[in-house]
Amino acid sequence: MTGEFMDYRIFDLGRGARLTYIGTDKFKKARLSVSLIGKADRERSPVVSLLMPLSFRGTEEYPGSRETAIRAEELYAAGIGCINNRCGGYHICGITASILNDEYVSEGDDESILENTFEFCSSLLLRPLFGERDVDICKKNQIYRIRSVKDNAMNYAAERFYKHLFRNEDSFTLTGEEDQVERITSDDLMREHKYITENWSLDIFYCGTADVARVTRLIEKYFGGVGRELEQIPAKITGYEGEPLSVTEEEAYREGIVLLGFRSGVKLTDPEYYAYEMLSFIYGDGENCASKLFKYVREKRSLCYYCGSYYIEYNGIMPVYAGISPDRVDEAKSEMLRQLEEIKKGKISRSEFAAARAMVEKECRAAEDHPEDYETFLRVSRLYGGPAGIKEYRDNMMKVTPEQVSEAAGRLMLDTIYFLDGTLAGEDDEDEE
Amino acid sequence: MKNNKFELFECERLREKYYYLKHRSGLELYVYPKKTSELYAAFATRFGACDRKYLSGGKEIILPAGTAHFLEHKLFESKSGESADLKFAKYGAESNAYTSQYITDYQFTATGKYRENLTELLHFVTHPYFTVENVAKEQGIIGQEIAMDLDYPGYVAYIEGIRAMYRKNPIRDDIAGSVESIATITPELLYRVCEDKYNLNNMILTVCGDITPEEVAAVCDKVLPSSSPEYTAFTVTEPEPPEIVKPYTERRMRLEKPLFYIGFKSLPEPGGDREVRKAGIAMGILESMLFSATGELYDRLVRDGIITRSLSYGHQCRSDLFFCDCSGSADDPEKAFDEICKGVAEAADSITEADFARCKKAFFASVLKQFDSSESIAEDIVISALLENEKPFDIIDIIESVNIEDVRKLAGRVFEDRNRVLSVVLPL
Repeated sequence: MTGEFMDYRIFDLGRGARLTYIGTDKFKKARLSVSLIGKADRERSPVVSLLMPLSFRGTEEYPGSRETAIRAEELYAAGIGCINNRCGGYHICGITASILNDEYVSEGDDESILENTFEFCSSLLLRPLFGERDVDICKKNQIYRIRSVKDNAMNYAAERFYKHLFRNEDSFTLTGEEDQVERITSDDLMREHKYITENWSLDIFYCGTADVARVTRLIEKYFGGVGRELEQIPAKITGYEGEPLSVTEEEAYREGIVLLGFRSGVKLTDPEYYAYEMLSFIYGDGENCASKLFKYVREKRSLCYYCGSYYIEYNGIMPVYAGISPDRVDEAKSEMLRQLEEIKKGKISRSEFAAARAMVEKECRAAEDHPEDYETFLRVSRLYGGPAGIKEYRDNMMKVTPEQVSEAAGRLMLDTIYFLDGTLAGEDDEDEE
Repeated sequence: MKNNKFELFECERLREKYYYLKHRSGLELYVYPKKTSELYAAFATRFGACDRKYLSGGKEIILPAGTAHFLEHKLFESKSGESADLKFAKYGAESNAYTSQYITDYQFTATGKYRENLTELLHFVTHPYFTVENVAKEQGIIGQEIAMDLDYPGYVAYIEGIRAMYRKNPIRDDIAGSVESIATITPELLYRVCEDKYNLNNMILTVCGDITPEEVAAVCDKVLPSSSPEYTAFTVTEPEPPEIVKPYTERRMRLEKPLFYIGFKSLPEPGGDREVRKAGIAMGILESMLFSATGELYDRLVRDGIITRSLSYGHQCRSDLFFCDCSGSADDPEKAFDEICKGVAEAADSITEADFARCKKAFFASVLKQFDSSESIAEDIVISALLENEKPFDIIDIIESVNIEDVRKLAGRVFEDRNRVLSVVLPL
């Protein structure tokens, strides 16, 4: 795409398959992702979520977990990972690989890492084994993952917060509930594997030194005939009117966590979208030390060690968070809300606005060093029709005025106030000998 | 330009190069020109959480736990009232800092205004401003950080395991200290430590990105003094007995399944910096063969349901300390401990040439991949220069020099019965 920070090209390979290609010799390693995209579904998604971990337990060509791990290591420590993500109404599952470009293979070693990685990814994605014992191990791990969310206070608080925020929607997680996972059988996994490889859309991202003709040839060789047209799932964007839901829950943690959930009611394709993005940069972008939350909640009032906000572009939600001492929850909440009120009143200083713009510019430029950022950005745009590239995003962000940010803040609707009260706050650490 | 003559170092195999200069201020400069969009700079001192006692002007200075980390937080404040964070933000840069056991490191990443950002980095670290009020304010923020760390079962298992292994070494204290220890920190103490440990002869600056050595040197010439006193504030460490403190420790927390941490305490590697570094790399290869998914031991532990999901593993190899560890979750942590100990005891005999060759190749490839990121490059330089007295490309030769016998010998030495500890965190 002309003028883009990183020169990417998108190829329609037929049957809904798409390749996003970035040809560059800037990096020693190449990035390859092969994903299948379909509709997130309460019944299907927990089964699909087990497929990728199961493939690492063995495939037709590499029939055991040790064999798959050794194969990854043989490919010069190919960083092979599972993709199992949600983007609004879509479920994305697949394999990602971080591999050395072929030019860096040791002298005397004439294998092609790229071709072998394609072969390996195809084996993992298309030809997993469904042995009962491995299915059982993956189910146990999945159940453990569901239960162990409580091992991390922030993750647990976020999970509870979203449950309350989405109380009026048909909400579910990709990993499902414990009893759902318990019921999954090898036959279910085989059936869903067949379904997604035949019906979901194939999405491939490549950034490296290989030319596009070679990459498309390898896709045809290893993934030819997989998938079909992408099913369009409209974005679910809702507003909220009425008193915000206020929930306090207790758990045995030392810290307390406050989460506020705001709704904008704005779609990614709406012109106002950029004002909400800029609002989040000014209000609480985690990397912007000139943000109002960092300056006032953390630095001036010493109310927390961390705090911030982020805007979720495909559902128009702005979560705001802070890790606090539980006895200061009221102070923290009121200061967090007060800072948003200041923005509504137009109290955005010139330096705050300039710092937010500078941070946007920096993040857009920095994406040139991080192909994975491009991958995520372009995927969201494909699914929900956002800006065509990072440059378009940046250009539109630069047009946002402080007045538009204030107006956007004024239209935000506070839906949920969640507080996870740490009941161990203030308890001494035991240091017995 | 003040007669700055950089030395050029090149590595044909990596197709990389950097420039080195001992600046007249005493600061060591590593400039790594690279066509990246982000420039990453790190300004670091050889002073961390384990530096708790040192000599200054013939007097012994003893620091409360958490001093290095506290100082790291406080240096961002300035007399003008505008924190360094804010200045970086105005220049579109992201600033950060971390304190490890042996290093305090201040960084920024930016895609423009390099001169302004570099100036700010060098200026704020060398211009401390402490008051009774701003020290008191930080005690609240850091108290919150300490509470956050103590909510992580994995961290609690680790620190309790370290305490079970080490009796004297300050590694047994939390990097952030405790609410009680940081309450004793005063502005006077912080000024004293700055003067002693932030001596430019004890520090380095690494810059990686689209910049020339001359541009970096020009900023140093402008911001830094023309000389610094000789560095003499060497840390004093008490000798650590070879024995562990206790073989087992247990805590209870809000947690789904028991977590275990197994530590193998060993005597420090004898020899110079290069031998210590080589032992560290050999240990990295060995633990990958044992504890990663490619290992027979790991495969058996998962297949038999003894552990859940993956094992985490690592090591610390220094001239004064050497241990390796692995951790994970298990229904029966003592059974996991027994099985892992049985597995590692057989390691010296079970390592094959093929496994070793594959792991070594993978280790080398992982190092090579680090050279794509300006952050990884700059941070690797900080660690190798400050802790290992090593130049950036030396690692390639050291990896090459490791052979299977080195790994076998290490396995025989590190996994001795009497120096193992098990730290578990059980559900409430």
